[in-house]
Amino acid sequence: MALEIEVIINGQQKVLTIEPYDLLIDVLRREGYKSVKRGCSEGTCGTCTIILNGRAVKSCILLAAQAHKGSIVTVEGIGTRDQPHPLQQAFVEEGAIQCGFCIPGIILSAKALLDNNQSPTKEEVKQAMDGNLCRCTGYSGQIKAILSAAAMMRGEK
Amino acid sequence: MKQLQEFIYPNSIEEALSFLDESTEIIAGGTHITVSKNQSFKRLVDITRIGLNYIKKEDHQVRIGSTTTVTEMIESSIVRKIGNGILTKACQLIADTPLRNIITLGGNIARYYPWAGLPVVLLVIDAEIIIVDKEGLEQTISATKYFKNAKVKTGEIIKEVVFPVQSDWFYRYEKFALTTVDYSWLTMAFGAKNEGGSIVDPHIAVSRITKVTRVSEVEKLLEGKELSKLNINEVIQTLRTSVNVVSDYRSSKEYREHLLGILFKRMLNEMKEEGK
Ligand SMILES: Cc1cc2nc3c(=O)[nH]c(=O)nc-3n(C[C@H](O)[C@H](O)[C@H](O)COP(=O)(O)OP(=O)(O)OC[C@H]3O[C@@H](n4cnc5c(N)ncnc54)[C@H](O)[C@@H]3O)c2cc1C
Ligand code: FES
Ligand code: FES
Repeated sequence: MALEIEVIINGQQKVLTIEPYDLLIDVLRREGYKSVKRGCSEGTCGTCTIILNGRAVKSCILLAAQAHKGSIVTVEGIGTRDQPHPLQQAFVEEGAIQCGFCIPGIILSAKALLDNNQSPTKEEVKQAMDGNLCRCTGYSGQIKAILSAAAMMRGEK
Repeated sequence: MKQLQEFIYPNSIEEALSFLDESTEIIAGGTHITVSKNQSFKRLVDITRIGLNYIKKEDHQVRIGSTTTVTEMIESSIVRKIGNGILTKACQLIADTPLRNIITLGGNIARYYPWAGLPVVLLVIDAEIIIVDKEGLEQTISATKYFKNAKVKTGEIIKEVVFPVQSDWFYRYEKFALTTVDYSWLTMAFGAKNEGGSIVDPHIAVSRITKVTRVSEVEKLLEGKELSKLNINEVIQTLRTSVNVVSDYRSSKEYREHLLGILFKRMLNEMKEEGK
């Protein structure tokens, strides 16, 4: 039996009609948020990471119904080509992207960290990123980029 | 999961209870519900909005509501006092950040998942699990009884867990895995009092290599023993034979028995060191 959920996606209030068994990843992609990528479908890889109520979560192991009355952020909501988010800017400058498949999830895990912690240590960055696999880059450039974005956001760069 | 027809958001425990029946399942974090196969439930009842998200400090104990997330426990300075930090450590070693942000205390202990990190901690700290039954009555069950054979039943809800705070105890927790985010290969916890150089009231719990359990044979062997005269090799030998270790595709019975001995030997040596 279909049900309606109220959610805020990237600042926009929405009412979505869903089935109780719909996964959040499927509903978001259906609504056009194609930055949310499907990798493993079992909560391991992190390509489907979004921010829900201020925390990074994996949308492939959440039912859409669980997001009712929640606030969601996807990559579509944090920057544009002309005005990238400092994290996106830093990833480009560091060359921290290869195939790109993991990047939306990586950016959102990093954003959730920086929103709660302006000056994370390298260890804290590593821990915040522990749910996101990247098969191309080897992570070190990404960690550098996140620390560099943190400095930008503190106004130091 | 196409069999699922209804998703309910109750506002209170009483309301949640009124929806529970044989074809209904509780959903908390949902991280197991969404990936488990062979499901037959037609209705899900979301218990994350019924006021069970809290960490309350009381005299000599802490009450944690069942829908409190693993991340919330990690961030709590009150939780750091439980078991001299082993609950915090066990939480940090569960899965990864985005999963810890949704996995709940209740969801980690409701079923006997062999890979779950928290059951052994509840066992060595002598935690109590408060379950609300069909009639809305609260039952208090010791962790030891709960993990033996008193798992929460259909129609019931785990409301909270009560952790005694005994800062004069020695506690250790270990999750052996290949990487920080790997599933556990062996999970174990130890708690005991050091009274004038002797071990008093030892609690040993293991999981993953066997169904989660306390190891009463070794607890009896250790009771009252002087740390300085302890024959650690004898203890380890008894430990290896008293746990019914099973093998799986990742590691053999022999490997796991060996590992079990090594981890416990380290814990005992640390207790000796700390007692000096
Ligand atoms: C990729 C991955 C890796 C993981 N790694 C680890 C790990 O290393 N260590 C670890 O400990 N865990 C790990 N987990 C988590 C673990 O396997 C379970 O998914 C988790 O503990 C379930 O918690 P939940 O809150 O999401 O519960 P849910 O999925 O919502 O529920 C799980 C079960 O418990 C029942 N339930 C939940 N709450 C209550 C309650 N209050 N009263 C009665 N019944 C209840 C539900 O009905 C359901 O049957 C991992 C999970 C994933 C997906
Ligand atoms: S697709 Fe969600 S974690 Fe892999
Ligand atoms: S850039 Fe290819 S997986 Fe990360």
